[in-house]
Amino acid sequence: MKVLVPVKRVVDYNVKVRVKSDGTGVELANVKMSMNPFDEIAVEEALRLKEAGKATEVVVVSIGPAQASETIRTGLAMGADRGILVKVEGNVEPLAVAKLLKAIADEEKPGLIILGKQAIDDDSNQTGQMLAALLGWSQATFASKLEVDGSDFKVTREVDGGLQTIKLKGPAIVTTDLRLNEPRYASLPNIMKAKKKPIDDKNASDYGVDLTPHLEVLKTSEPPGRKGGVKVKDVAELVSKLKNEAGVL
Amino acid sequence: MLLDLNEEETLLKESLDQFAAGAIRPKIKPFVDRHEFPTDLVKEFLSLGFMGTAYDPNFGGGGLGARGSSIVAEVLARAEPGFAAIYLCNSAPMSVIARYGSDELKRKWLEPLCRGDFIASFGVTEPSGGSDVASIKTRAVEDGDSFVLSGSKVFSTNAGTPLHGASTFVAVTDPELGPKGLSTFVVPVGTPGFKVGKPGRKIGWRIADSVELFLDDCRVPKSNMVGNRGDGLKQILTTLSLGRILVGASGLGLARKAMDLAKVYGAGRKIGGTPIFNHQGLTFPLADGLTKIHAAELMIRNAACLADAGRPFRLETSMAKLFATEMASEVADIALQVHGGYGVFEEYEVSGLLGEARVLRILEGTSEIQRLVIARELLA
Ligand SMILES: Cc1cc2nc3c(=O)[nH]c(=O)nc-3n(C[C@H](O)[C@H](O)[C@H](O)COP(=O)(O)OP(=O)(O)OC[C@H]3O[C@@H](n4cnc5c(N)ncnc54)[C@H](O)[C@@H]3O)c2cc1C
Ligand SMILES: Cc1cc2nc3c(=O)[nH]c(=O)nc-3n(C[C@H](O)[C@H](O)[C@H](O)COP(=O)(O)OP(=O)(O)OC[C@H]3O[C@@H](n4cnc5c(N)ncnc54)[C@H](O)[C@@H]3O)c2cc1C
Repeated sequence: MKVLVPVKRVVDYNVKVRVKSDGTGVELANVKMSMNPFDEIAVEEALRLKEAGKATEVVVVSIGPAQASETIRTGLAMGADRGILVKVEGNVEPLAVAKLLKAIADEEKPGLIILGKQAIDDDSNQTGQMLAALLGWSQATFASKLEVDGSDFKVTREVDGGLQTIKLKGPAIVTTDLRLNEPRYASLPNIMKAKKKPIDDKNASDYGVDLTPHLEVLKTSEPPGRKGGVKVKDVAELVSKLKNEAGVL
Repeated sequence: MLLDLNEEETLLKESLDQFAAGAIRPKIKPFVDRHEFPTDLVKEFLSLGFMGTAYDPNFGGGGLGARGSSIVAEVLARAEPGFAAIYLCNSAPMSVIARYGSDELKRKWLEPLCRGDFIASFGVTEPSGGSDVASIKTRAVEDGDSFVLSGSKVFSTNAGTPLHGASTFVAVTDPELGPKGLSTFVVPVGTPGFKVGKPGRKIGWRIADSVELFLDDCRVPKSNMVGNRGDGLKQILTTLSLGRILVGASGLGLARKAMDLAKVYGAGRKIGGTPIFNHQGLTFPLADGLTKIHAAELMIRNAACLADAGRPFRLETSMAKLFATEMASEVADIALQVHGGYGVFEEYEVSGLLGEARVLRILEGTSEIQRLVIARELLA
């Protein structure tokens, strides 16, 4: 079974994001970029499947600017076998990403596609679901456990009420939640090997996908600053404030 | 640009940054508080193969030279200076074997060290004075197909830890030849007569242990001699010079750590309703510190590039080591000052950085020895 793992290049989670002064987006110049943390978890899961003899090949795909090849190399340094880079400039919406991934899946015919449940830049939480719909495959989002059963899968999902376990017919789509695993550190031997692994360079036009956006971002602004808290004397005052001022009781 | 990282260096730094943030930072404090070697953390680090960063891929290394190696030292020091110490004290014996050892010796010792099976130590300094390497008294006497070593060493870092597998010793093989009568030997742990003293409690390199070593008629095969008989001094001087790049890089990482701490603490501190960083009296020293950090970074990178290109590097490494380690002390002091009275309490990490920085001005050649090397160049 081949496993396909899409990986997105995003602003590093340690960076304090700043809104551009003209409100057209966030500042990306000279900002550290890394692999979306949920995608790291996806790569790790795919590698564990391979190490357990359940997967034969792990292919990482990134859709983004030329520098997204660095994100692919990070995946290769973790241990993935090869990469596909689909070069696009500017913002690509989840639907366009899903369409490109569908085209790649049609070509690559993976038994499983593992995606992050969302990317930490736009927090859309849509790509996996849209891709499942376009391919007509079964899907399990927010996975905290993944087991392979022949060409089918058993997935434990983190849902509001607790954990839900479902069975999926393969080929399938799984999106990762934080507790699925702890991604490994790339080792020196794997870093050295990464350079020799192939990355296939593609363009959106190779797949005949129309990237025209359907959404227009009007303005980006900072969230309002947090107001300082107040100290209360006793429980009675707390309850009274919650009732009368906050209106939550 | 000089500081741009190539693809492998980028991946190396990325993975080390993650290891620093995910493994070292959350676990290291109790070890620092107890001045204890973090065995399991070091094992985890060894399993990633980074000890081999600099060395020949034919012997299991990463081939990333002094440039790659200085990135490792810097990132580790920024997480915890003592962790960089463990790395760079292991690098010294590895470098001497990699540069001068026979292929057989490299197979036997360099390869497992790159793989991270165990760590090694360097026994150069003796009680009679580390600054004058030529005054070494430890003797190695030829006897049949072996050498028998006797003498003692001080401050040997890594040697007292449970992960220690071997030490490289510099000893006198030919007393009548003076400085040309020194040779280097690999002595495995477990060799009869090889004993390890107790570690002392230090103000810096708190999680690394530096111990006395005793050689009491230790017999090693002749094949354990590193390179040529009589080349010991030349070997140490080159190895120390390479090591200076890493000590400088540790100073750089330490200074960045101090800056990180100052920034976080200062940003949250108000006096009389005004954030303390509104006072130029406090931010100008930080600006000077940041400028020196940049200068040190350039000097270290340049020295590493020279070494990797096979060009003369002794002057530049001495200058980089001198500047970066004195800068580290200075920046640690500025960062402590930003913390006001809290800065001298051990709960505040910044308090420990003065001692950590202090060590760097002493080993792999004291600041005075670096100035001697530099002045010699001036007067040549
Ligand atoms: C924490 C720690 C770890 C260490 N780890 C190791 C290790 O793993 N292996 C190892 O072999 N060694 C190790 N060392 C030893 C280190 O290299 C020596 O401490 C160093 O070389 C200085 O030698 P010394 O301590 O004997 O000082 P001395 O040589 O006694 O020097 C005392 C003072 O005199 C000054 N001085 C000496 N000669 C001159 C001169 N000609 N001109 C001007 N000033 C001079 C020195 O600069 C210094 O300030 C370690 C040291 C420390 C502190
Ligand atoms: C070991 C120890 C014992 C002590 N014992 C006593 C004691 O017995 N009794 C007692 O009352 N106090 C005591 N102190 C407190 C000591 O006097 C204060 O630590 C000192 O006044 C600094 O105040 P702070 O620590 O709150 O630092 P802050 O006032 O928070 O200062 C933080 C930094 O900001 C700088 N800064 C502040 N304002 C300005 C400005 N306007 N311009 C430029 N820079 C500025 C400071 O110089 C400092 O570098 C003790 C402190 C220590 C460390």
